[in-house]
Amino acid sequence: MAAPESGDGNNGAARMVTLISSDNTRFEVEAAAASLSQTLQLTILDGGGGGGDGIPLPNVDSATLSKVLEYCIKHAPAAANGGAPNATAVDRAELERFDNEFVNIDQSVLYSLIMAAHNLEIEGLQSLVAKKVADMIKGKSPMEIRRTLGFPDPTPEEQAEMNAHMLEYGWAYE
Amino acid sequence: MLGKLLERPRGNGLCEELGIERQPAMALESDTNSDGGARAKRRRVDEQGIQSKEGAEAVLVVRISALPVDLRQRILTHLPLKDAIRTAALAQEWRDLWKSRWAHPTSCRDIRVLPDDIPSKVLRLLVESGPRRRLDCFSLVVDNKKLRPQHLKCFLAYAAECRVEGLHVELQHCKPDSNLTFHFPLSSRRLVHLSLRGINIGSTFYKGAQPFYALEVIYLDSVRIFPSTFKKLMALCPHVHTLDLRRCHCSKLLMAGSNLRSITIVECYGMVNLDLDAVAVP
Repeated sequence: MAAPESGDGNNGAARMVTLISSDNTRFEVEAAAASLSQTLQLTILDGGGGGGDGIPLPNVDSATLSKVLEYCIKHAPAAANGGAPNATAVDRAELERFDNEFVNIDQSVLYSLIMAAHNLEIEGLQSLVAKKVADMIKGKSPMEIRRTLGFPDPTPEEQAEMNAHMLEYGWAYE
Repeated sequence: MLGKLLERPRGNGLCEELGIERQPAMALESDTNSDGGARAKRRRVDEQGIQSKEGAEAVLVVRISALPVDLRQRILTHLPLKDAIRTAALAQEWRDLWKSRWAHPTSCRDIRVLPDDIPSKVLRLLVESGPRRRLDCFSLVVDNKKLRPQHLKCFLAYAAECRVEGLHVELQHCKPDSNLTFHFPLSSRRLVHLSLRGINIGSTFYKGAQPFYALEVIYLDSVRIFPSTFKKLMALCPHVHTLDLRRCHCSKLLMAGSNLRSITIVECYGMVNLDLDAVAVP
């Protein structure tokens, strides 16, 4: 992975920061990658996370954080190019392939990722995980959606509400 | 479906790396074991030090519903209208969420022009309400004798500009000889569901019109349409599967469409020609 030429000011290029997960695992990553997170970006611009300090992330466990960072490291070069207007089609295809593979994960991991992407405000990742959940819903009947997302079978009251809704919006269920 | 979920390999690189043992979902277990058994098993695994990962997928159930509203809305923005509506069946937390998925101001606009309203004012309020944003549904119900064809045209143009997927237009107390006309070919290209009541369907603008590939359902109630126009309309809608006609002048209307699965005709006048060869048999 090529280090971006210009990062945040003079300590940009190879500056490393340390992130500490909720279970006290330390992750050292390039500042450029961590800066994909809007939340972290401010801290990093302020000079935080360097040296022995580390930025504590009490809401993100190590499993989720390592997954999040995998995404950030992959996407950092393109992001540094300002959304990559000069990226080649090959680069973009590679990122797309990576993204597809990346969200091919267990639902609980997906859930943790949704929350982490939200807390850390990583725009690209937020879209990616939201789209993944949407894909799991698309083209399915309500019962199939419930099962896919792991909802229990509906109670009689829920079933009655479902039926009423299906009656009201019958065309959407055909 | 459940079986498939069970078989799906649960391991993933991260968890193995971290030595976290994954376990079958609680909800799935309850399907095969008695409830007590499943719970006991889960507790046992917990004691072995799984911490908060217990019953991960079962908890997810509650969790996806428990996601903050803006995150659930975000998921819905990636769905076509039909799928978005179906999520209302998931749980109370999802019931009306789809209606607000385009965030601002609402993804459904219900316009009512009441007897005392001045149509041009209602119209101005609408078109000046801000930039056109994508809308799921647009409903226009008019009970007002002052509505002019020009107003109607502007209302419908607004809906088309907002790329609506569901359109309902209803004129109450509209006389059969009224010149208030719905021009189908000028509709939103994304139209999936069209519902018209008490309005005439115009016969112009069909020449050179592009097909409405998304359109699946047409409800017509007390609608006047010429057989030749109806034929042209159906020809523009290759994927319509449901046709519902009530209180219409159906004389010589030819019901044909290769994807039609459901045809409902209630209280209509005249003879309807049903071309069964050109109708899909379910």
